[in-house]
Amino acid sequence: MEHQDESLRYFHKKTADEGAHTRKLVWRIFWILLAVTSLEILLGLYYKEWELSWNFVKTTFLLLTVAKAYLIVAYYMHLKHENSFLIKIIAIPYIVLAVYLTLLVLNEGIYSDLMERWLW
Amino acid sequence: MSQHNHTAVKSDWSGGISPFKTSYGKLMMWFFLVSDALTFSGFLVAYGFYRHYFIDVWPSAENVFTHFPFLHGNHPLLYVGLMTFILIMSSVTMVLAVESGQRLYKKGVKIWLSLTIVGGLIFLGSQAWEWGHFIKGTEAGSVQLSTGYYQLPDGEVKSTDGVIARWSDSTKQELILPWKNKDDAYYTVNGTELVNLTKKATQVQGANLTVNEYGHKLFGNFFFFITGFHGLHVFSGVILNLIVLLNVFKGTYEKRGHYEMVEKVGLYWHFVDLVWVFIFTFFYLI
Repeated sequence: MEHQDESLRYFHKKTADEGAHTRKLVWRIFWILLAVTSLEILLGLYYKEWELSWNFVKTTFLLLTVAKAYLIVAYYMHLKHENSFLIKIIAIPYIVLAVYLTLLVLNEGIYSDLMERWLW
Repeated sequence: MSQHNHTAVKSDWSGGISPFKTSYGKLMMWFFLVSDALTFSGFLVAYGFYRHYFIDVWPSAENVFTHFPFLHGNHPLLYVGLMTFILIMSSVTMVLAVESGQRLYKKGVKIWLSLTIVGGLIFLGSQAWEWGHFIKGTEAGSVQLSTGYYQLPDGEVKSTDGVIARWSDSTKQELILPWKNKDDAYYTVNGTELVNLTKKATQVQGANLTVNEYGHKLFGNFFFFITGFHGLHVFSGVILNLIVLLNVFKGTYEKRGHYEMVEKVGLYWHFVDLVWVFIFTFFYLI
């Protein structure tokens, strides 16, 4: 049997219409990303003048960052339209380990004063 | 009977096909990106930990990165905003190259992939410019205090060992200490108190791995390490894009009948953009 390129099996040529639809989506996501980034910069520059509390601004930054990350992974990296097993095997290990690491440092970080007294 | 059994167990997981409905190469690129994402998470969490541990003497990025080409004065966030825009833009051109590849439209892949490479190179140049200014530092520089203690006006005693204090202006008559009073303003010293405090102090200008005129040296270390590691990713991304572009020109993918390689480097390139989104937030905004 003749060797067949494995990747070819999962390749489906897109039509011109599908392409136009994808391009429209790409540009829409671009404008959202640009707007969110501009909003972040404006917040960073003027939050004192607008008399917003730093905790509120900080939380907003974190939420907007996660939103941008979602848009990039879901639409630009196309993960949203992949097979559901692929989505799970990529998203679940990363989210579980990243959240675990963050909580671990937040929780155990309070002992770092103790650690310093031990070491010196 | 055997025919019946055969169809009953035939599922996504019975072998012969990918249960993820994707090729080996793309799947492995995703696995690599997950592990790389965890590496960057580790760096950023470590940064967050040390930042809070030394919260007293940690510099604020808006006081560090204030330059903009051809403009004078203080422009915090503007330059890094431009860098972010360049990287988002190169992500758009990359996704358009991938889209052209899915339609087997060679000319489109050539144009968009070339523009992505240009965007990556501009980003690398901007980063070099930013590093240059950080390493060179300000004209007045700052002072690194030596071992000893200083009593704040409210009675609290602080260790001055290795603490960085910045001059309030270029006349160097007044030092801004890194500690704040109740009204959120920094304490300052001048006159004889200043002379006593700086007897054994050293003058510091710019930033490197052992000292940093803007504040705690770990700020510089983390900045160089994390943005440097990200820059290395951008650089290798540019190289990978160049190799793929050469293959597009040679017609390698046309012969194969698909442009999956463009999709794979595309995934890598978007990941680089994704990491920058987080660096932008944790280093420059917060």
